[in-house]
Amino acid sequence: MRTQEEVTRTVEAYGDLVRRLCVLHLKNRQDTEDVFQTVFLKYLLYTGSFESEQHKKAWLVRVTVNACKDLLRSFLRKPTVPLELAEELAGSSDENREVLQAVLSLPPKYKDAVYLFYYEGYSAVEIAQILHKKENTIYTWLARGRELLRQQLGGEWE
Amino acid sequence: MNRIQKAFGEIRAEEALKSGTISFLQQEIARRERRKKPIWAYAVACAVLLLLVGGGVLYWLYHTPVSYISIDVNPSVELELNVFDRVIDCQSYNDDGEVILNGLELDNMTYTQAIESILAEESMQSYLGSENAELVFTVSSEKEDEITAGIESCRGYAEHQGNCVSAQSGSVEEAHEAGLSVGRYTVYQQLLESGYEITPEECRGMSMRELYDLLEQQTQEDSSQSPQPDKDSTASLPEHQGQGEGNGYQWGKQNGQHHS
Repeated sequence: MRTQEEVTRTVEAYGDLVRRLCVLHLKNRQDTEDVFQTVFLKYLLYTGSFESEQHKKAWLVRVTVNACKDLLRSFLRKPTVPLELAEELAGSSDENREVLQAVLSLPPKYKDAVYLFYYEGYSAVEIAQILHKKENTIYTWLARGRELLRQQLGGEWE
Repeated sequence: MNRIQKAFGEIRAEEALKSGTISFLQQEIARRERRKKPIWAYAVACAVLLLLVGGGVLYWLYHTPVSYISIDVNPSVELELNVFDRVIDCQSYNDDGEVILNGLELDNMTYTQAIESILAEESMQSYLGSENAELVFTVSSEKEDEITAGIESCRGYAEHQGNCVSAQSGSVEEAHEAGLSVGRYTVYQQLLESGYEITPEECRGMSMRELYDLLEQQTQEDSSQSPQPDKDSTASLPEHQGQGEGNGYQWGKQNGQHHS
């Protein structure tokens, strides 16, 4: 079991990452809290050791993506209230909101790949490892996601 | 920075979310720490139990005799060895033997140390020094060869011209039942086999020299096909110490050999 200090440090360092991944898949505050608790509890109880910060970060990405999927599949979640998200981003610019909504409207499979590629800067190979998918699959998802975004946002979105 | 980075860059984990998660985890840590103690206590109990059992096994192992070394001259003494070749007990099998062991502390010594100690005993010297004394070591053990080599390497062994023989397996209990050390019992058996009638009590009092003389005489008689000497018990009682008591048997010849 990890120490209180390690846990706090990790929450502070990677809270934003987990939050953003939650935005991709979840629609309300309660679900986000649930996933947050699940992810960092798993971290608390993880008995292995991390080779590096990169390793730890990749591990957290995978755990978060899986936790979101599990939650969505379970029957316990509350019905979605799409408006909540819009409220959260009330302060941001139109442009940003437009991009966010475009990404969020992608088919679920593409969302993670697109986020990890364009925001976190992972390569397709790395994304394949994190999500346990074949490299080719990731390339396909990225290509298709990129295409859909271009349709929504116009050519210069990248 | 691309547009996706710009858009997502604004998204942060809210302080409330982070602190809420942190306190949730604090509770989890506390809960699991509380639970751990009983398991810890069980682990300690198991370890203690294992130690006791292990200790018991070691004790039993240490105190289980696996080898016997019988030292017979006149005095008859027997060493019991454990699997580590250490003396766990020593017994005397006649009065002379008891005198020797009196005051000797041999427990836990290696057998070579014990042998040197016994042979160095004051009271032993008169027996070892007497003419043509036979110092006989009889070994009953699975590691006979090893132990024999060990005995033969003893200084005392060479000094007093000892002789090392092996006992028949299984004879230890029989020997003890008859009240004899394994060494004496072995000769006793040999005498019986050669047709000589003798009792264990008689063997106990005789020196190994005398017993061997008897045996030699018996086997020589056997090979030369002379009549069996046994039925007359008075004739076979060996008070004579090798002096012939003319009774028609070839004592005279043996005498000559003894005292050469």
